[in-house]
Amino acid sequence: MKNVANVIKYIMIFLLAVSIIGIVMVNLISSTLLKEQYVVSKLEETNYYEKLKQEIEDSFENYIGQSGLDETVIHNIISVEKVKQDTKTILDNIYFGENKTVDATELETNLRKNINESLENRKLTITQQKAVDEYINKITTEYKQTLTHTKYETQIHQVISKVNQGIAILQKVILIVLGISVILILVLNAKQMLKSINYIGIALATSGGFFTVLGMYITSKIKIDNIVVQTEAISDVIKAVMNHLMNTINQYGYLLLIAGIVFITIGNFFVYQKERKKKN
Amino acid sequence: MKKAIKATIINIIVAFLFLSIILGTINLSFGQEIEDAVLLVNQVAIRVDSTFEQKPTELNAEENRLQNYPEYGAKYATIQIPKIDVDLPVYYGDTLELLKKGVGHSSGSYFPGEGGSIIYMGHNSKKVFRRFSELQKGNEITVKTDYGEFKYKIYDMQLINETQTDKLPIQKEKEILMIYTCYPFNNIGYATQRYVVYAELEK
Repeated sequence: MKNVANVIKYIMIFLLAVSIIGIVMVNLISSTLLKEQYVVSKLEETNYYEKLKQEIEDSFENYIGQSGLDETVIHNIISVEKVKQDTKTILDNIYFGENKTVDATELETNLRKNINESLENRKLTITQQKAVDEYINKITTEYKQTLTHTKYETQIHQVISKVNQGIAILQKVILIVLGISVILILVLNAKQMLKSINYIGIALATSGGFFTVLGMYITSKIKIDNIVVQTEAISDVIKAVMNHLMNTINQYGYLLLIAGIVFITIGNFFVYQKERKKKN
Repeated sequence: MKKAIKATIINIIVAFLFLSIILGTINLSFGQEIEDAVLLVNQVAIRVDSTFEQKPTELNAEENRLQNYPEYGAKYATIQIPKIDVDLPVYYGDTLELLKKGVGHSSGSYFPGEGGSIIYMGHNSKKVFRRFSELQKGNEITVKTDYGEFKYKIYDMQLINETQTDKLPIQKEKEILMIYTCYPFNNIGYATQRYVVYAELEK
């Protein structure tokens, strides 16, 4: 009977360790990647809006050379504030499923004004007027495309919603398993309550070890600072997010590992003290 | 006390065993997927070889060939056309990105000094070749490269259609510099014509 109890105890410790790993992972994901506010903070931290504005202006320059229009027509047609506002619109679509569209009217008005000023209101032929309209259309499309980077906002939102639902369920399941395993460990050690401390310590050390190994594995396999995805602005955000996740994983790893070792040491020390007192 | 230390060590070993079981299970269940994910991420994590150094480009005059060609996209020369106040960097390549920065060098053509056709191109914007119409026969063009200075004299100008690639022939009998830009110079919209300036190397 004692052996069965012992086996159950160790199964519970194992389950507790897995639950701790699960709860940390779930909380890490739900408080970072699945939160719009977190993404916004990373965009601001990496000067995303300024870089994106620069990228948009650079993409305009690709057309100016071929259009025959003066370079000055694309000067000051967008602002960092407008880029920020439109990026927020896209993020709202992704995270909250809103169906807002990027409004390029301001850009179009500024561009048309600049073109008219540059041409000194000279009379254009129908073909030239068509070319100007086509150019404005190209620039506004380019603005929307460079800003959005994806046409799959709805699909991404659906994935995020599903992940959110899954995570909410997973969180509940893990918490239940965690609660049951802690209770069972306490119940099975009812006579030697102090021993529960080092059993919980074993679970903490196991999960701490897991995050430490995970951190070391990712760092050794992936050169985060060399990641290049689409543009410099996006790459910098991805690098910032990944570095933050790595730091958090490492912190959890060390913290849980230290806590586990402390719990194990204290638990054993108390048990030893108690046994010594009994003997005396 | 020894007993407490022994128990602590055993507990740590148990934790280590549990950790091994978890890692082993993950490896058995998702090992391939993890490898694939790492591979995928590493495909976008470019490893920069910081030890690579571009060796200086040199002209082998006997063979009329360059040694250590410039890297694609690198600025390797400047072009000066005093008549129209042009003093621009020349990049090896002809992408839109490069043309934004200055004059592009068609990668299929020869380099100055190699004794063949050299094809340069630039936008017809104010900063680049807007004033091309002012050029006349006999005007000078200087290309200053890292391996030498080359002077050319304009001997012809032609207006061609964008599809007339035979007007920009690649040959290695004579060193000819061909520079083209979009025409009309103050065109609005996509231009289908090209204004080409032909210049030969001055002896």
